[in-house]
Amino acid sequence: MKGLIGKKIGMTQVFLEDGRLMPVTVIEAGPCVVVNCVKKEGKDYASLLLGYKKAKLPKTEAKSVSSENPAKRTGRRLNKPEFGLFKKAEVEPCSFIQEFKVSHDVQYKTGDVLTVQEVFAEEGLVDVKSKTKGKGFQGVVRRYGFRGGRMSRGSMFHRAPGSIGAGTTPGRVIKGHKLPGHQGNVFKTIQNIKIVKIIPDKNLLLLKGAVPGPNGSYLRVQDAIKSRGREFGR
Amino acid sequence: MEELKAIEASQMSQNAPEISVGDTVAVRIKIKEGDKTLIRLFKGDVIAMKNGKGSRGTFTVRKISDGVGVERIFPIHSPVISSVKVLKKGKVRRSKLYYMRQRTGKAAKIKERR
Repeated sequence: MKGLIGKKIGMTQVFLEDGRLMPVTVIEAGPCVVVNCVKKEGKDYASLLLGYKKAKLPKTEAKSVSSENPAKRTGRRLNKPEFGLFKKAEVEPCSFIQEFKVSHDVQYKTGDVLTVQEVFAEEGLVDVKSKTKGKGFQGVVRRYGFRGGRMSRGSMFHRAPGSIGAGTTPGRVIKGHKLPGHQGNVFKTIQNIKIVKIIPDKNLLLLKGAVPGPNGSYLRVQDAIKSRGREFGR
Repeated sequence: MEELKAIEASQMSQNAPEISVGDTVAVRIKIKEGDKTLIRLFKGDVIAMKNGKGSRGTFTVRKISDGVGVERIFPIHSPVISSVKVLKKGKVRRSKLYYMRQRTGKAAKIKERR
């Protein structure tokens, strides 16, 4: 279940060889540096820690390495415990870090750099996990697609949820009942997205269709865990 | 954004048709049938051009086929288009000629620009 950390660039469309148009999401995936790769005790997988995009050092550490130009470093400011992880591994500090479960017979060394074309293949299927756009506090019409009532002609019932349960029995609202609340800004995984194209020299991945989140958001791309695909007959 | 622009630029075809709304055009379309590639002709008036001149632009061609109006939307840079020939330049005052859909016969003629 290997994967990479990436950044959503945006959507566009490309022509396929047979002339059809394909909507694609462009993702800058990797290059990711291997921070750590250890086999977990008693588990049949290895834990692969990948880092993505440079990070700023903690303020105390930044002073001690005053030899280099501090303006050069961009990205997230790490705190000391986070920095310790990279210091121990002796790799460049990264803003984003993700764990991937990989089969333990594949050998990754700390400091290795993984790129798109090594990890993914064109026509392959991937899962993408990222944070959806926050919608704020939403009513049931927006949040769950309730139909609502008529706006005019004295309807007196517009976008309200309506009845939320029976009376004295059970005397409470059933758990999990669909009610207004916060929508979006949660991690969602979209499964089995087809890789349309890989552009290795720019680390770009073109995926079919949409992925969650706004442009510029960071996301996790990994091999599809349910990639049974067409052979199981759809 | 630069990456998106680069990808879109790579999608643009070299011989994109130079057409404008109101033109009468003959579009030759490549059709794959088995292992043969056939060329079909679609002749009509350009009644709309949408989504800009970039790789995502399209144009709409309308013709009257056996008394029935037929419209086809082509991406300007589609690899399926083998050639677009402008038969007649039209004189029009709108960018979208959707009013042509209500017209038949002689009223559905576009004046030629000379």
